[in-house]
Amino acid sequence: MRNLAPVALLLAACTGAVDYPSNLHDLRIVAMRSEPPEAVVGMSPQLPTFHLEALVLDPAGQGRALHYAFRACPFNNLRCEGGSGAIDLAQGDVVDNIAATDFSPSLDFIQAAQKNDPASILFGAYLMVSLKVTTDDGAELVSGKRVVLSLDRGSPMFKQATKLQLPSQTANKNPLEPVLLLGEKPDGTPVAGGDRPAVAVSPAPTFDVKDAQDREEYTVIKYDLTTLGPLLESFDYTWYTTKGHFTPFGSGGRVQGDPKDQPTKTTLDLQGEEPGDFDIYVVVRDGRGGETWIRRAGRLGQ
Amino acid sequence: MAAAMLLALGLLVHPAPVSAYEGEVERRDKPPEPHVPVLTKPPQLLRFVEATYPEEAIKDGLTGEVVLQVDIAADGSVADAQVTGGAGHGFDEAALAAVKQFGFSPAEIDGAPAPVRIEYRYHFVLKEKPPEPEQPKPPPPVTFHGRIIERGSRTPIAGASVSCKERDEAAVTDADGAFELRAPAGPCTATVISYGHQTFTRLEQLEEGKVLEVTYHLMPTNFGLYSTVVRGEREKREAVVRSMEREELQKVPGSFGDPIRAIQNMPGVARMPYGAGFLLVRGALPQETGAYMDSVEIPLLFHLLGGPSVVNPEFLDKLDFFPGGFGPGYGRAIGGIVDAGTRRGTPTDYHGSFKIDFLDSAAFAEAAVSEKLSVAFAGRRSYIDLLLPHFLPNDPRTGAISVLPRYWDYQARLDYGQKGDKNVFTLMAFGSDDNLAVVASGGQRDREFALSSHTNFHRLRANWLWHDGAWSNLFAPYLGRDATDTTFGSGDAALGGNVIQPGGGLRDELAVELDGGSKIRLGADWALFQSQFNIMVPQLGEYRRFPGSDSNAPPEKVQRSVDDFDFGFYLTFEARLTPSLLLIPGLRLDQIRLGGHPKSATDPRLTVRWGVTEATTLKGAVGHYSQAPQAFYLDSQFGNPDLELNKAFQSSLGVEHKITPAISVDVTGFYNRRYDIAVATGKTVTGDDGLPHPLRYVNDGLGRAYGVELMLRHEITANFFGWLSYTLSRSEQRNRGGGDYQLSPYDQPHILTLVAQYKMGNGWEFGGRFRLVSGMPSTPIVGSTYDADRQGYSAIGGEVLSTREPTFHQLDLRVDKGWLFNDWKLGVYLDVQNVYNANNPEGYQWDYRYRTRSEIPGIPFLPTLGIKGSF
Repeated sequence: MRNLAPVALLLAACTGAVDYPSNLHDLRIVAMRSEPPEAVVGMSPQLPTFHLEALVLDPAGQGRALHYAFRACPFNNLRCEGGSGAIDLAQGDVVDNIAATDFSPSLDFIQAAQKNDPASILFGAYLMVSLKVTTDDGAELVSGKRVVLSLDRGSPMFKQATKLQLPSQTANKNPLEPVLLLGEKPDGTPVAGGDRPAVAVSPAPTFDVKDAQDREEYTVIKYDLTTLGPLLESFDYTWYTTKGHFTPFGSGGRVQGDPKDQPTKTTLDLQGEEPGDFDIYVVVRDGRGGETWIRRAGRLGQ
Repeated sequence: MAAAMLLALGLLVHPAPVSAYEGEVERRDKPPEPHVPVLTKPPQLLRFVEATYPEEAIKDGLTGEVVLQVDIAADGSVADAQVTGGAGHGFDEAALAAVKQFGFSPAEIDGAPAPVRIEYRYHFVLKEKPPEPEQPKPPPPVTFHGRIIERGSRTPIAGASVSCKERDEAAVTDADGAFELRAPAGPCTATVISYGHQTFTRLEQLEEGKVLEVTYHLMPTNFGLYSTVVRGEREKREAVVRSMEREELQKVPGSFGDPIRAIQNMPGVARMPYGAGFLLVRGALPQETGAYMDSVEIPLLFHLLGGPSVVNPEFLDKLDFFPGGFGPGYGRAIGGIVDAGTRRGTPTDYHGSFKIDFLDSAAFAEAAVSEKLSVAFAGRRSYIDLLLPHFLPNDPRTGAISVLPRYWDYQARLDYGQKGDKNVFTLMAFGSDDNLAVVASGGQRDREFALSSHTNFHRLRANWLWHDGAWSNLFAPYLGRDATDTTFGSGDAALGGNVIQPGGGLRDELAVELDGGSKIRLGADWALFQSQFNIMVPQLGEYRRFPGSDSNAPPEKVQRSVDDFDFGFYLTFEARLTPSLLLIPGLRLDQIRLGGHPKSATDPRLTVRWGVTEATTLKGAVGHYSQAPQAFYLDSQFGNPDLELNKAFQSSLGVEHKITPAISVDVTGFYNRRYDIAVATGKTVTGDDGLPHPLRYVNDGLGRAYGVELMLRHEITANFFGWLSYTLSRSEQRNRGGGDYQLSPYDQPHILTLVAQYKMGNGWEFGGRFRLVSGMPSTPIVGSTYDADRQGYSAIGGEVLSTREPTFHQLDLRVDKGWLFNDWKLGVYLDVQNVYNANNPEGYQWDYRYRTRSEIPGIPFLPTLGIKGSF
């Protein structure tokens, strides 16, 4: 339709993805988390240690070996490339879909990160951790995650630097693993199948996440050196499955302007799938670097 | 009657032969002396008196020659004369009497006036007596009169020949197409012949004592849906201006009769992807090219989503497009200028038209209220919002995307005074409104995505054009209101807001023409607008959020009122140094106060045109240009109050050559450099207070573009018009301190456009447009990295802008068929885009891991049918 036609075509083209992000069918790094996700320093000379874990899945790999290498860098690059000061953390093999290591940044490393990011004094320094997963047959994946190192707002160092008189803050924590109701009723009524409940193609099974905790409150500092808060965390849920796919339009994310109204339900589309077992993963993010995940198993019946 | 005297004529024309010793004039005045005097200046006959031819000789048919000896005094008078060779029959007396009345110039001997004697022969030759003039007979009474007008347009035909085949009677029509014949009673096969029209005949019966009154409608030999306006060529005062007339504007295939869209076929204009209506001119960004309507700045040229232009094509008189090097009369732009000129309503009679196609309907009407007062109106309204939903997918799994665009525009104009009057007044109102609502809903969505955008502008402009002799003045105040309202989401969670810009301006230009064709123009170009921002924004800009997260703070209401005052003054001197050399130095000064921040610009400009020959003109231009950044860029919270004006230096050099009266070629090279361009940094810097501050915008943007433009053009003739345009260019940009120049994302080295329209007769017209354009630069994606904080993949780009998208090529065709009726005409047009369905991807959509990509298709084979009528 004249010159409006391309717009319509463009919009129409946006609706037809084939390789759904929610479908796990080949080698994927699904999530990375740090324990803790954030460390607050300034009140004691002790430097923190972060324990890093990554969820690595390879459904079509038939048990092939997956090798990992962790790397950290004081600059903003997911692959820890193109800057100076990157350090190798650990190498090894993925066991039970998990790659893990500890990261204890040195003072020099922290200072380099602060130098690269002048705003880190107000908002915390983002320390990048990169994970490379390789296979013997040449496959390679790279993932990146930030851990946060904040300067305690109540510390003399912070007050001296900013002249702001603010109380100390609490470091962010990872969300607790929520309850994923797969066929069960919210009241916990069990369904047939035990740990691997059965679902059908139709009606499309709907899943629900039940939070296991209250969300944390936090306060942010604005560029004009005023504060905004307390703000309430919002959780984003990202859904994965090894059979079928979740609707690409049901993000499970928050609704703008209403932190309490968090859509937690989504629908699994199993049309065209063969009967059999499948796994579902839900990754929960708190929007401040905190992250966790939960796995449930299911079975598509005849 | 009396005869002409051949000898006398000989004396007058050939004085040298007079001599004392030879020829027919002999000197016999003094005896020889030791000093031999020399005739240094012979006498010349200054006063000839015709002799009376003897009656007797006339009666007998006699002729004769009388030889006379004439004594000429020192003062040239005839002192005496005697007949030395008579002819009798009264000839001698008559000749003697006449010769004595002759007068001569004094003869000179040895350099001093002196009396001389000459011999003179008077010839009497009979002439035939002219017949007595007949007394004019009184003309017979008018028996047959009427008007000759063109079929369809009702335009009076002047200069047509009207005759009765059976009589020797003919008449020519006057400016109103009127004629009168005075043929006697009886049959009369009226025959009307006019250039450009088919010969018309009709048998009439003239009756004694009666007057037959008729109106004949002549069929044009070539006609179409649109009228041809033929005007004298405007004197060019710019190095490069692409001007198009009404018929060209409405007929360009692929432009769907949209005049301003036709600019996209001009040299120097790059192709905008997705059919968007922005103009990419000589490497400048879309917002750097100014849009004007009758020299009043307007915020947009096209309706939303690449829709038609905001001016009804019927209202458009002509379109001037300056790809660069424009004069000081235009400001606030560092790219090019588009100035759409509207036309006054018809000075006689009334006319109108309507157009209907799949997208919109439009109507136009014009009328002459009196000899000096004319009015014209136009309006258009789209209904694509009613049709488009039927073509968009509605999948139960993916849901539906509802795109509801709607636009309308209007123009109204009143003119008082005629061309040539001392004072001419114009009042014009025009405006445009665009509304777009996009809603994605249904399917498996757990929420609805909604976007709405509403943009409109209105202008009320008055013109007072005064001229008196060499002086003239244009006084043109205007009022305006622009508004934009954009909303994302719905309810309390909606983001966005509105920006309202009330204001006005004034343009006054005083001009005086000097002797020799030079001209001085002194002008003021003021614009005073207030931008009232009232928007809801997420508080993301005020603190740093963790990557991948939304703002958890409620949206913030931002209200601003920014005054934008721009007082521009300009002066040009069109110095006609020789008839073929025109030198135009000019200067524009702008004093700007933008949101309380004073800025100033001094922009000198120079244009030279030199007609090397009648057909060839060399031309060149250099100039400096300034443009203020958008008001919000200077906001203390969201922008940088220290931003300076964006600037550009433009230069061009070229040659125009008229190959034939209808065919011309124009080759122009250009080099433009843009600097101090406001660019976003995305950086945080440590301020003097030792604390971090976001550095949102700085004047670090640099750009340059250079190339050659070719325009081979065939002007509108009876059957054909068209042009070939080709641009070879390179457009680059970089940030100050940011390394070497890199290609601009819009760089298109080769742009070839071929446009042609042919009238085949009998109402059929056929046109085509072919475009061949280099693909734009792109950065290859060589992989991706998973960002666990965002739960998404980030693309890994290869070398920046190191590859190009595929070459774009497309053929569009247009067929018009018109039918003429006595008082109106009807036309149907078929406009087919991408006739051979070339695959022209406008972009690519990658999968979520950046492993595979799918094409975002360009315009496919797309026919559009429309109807147009006019009277």
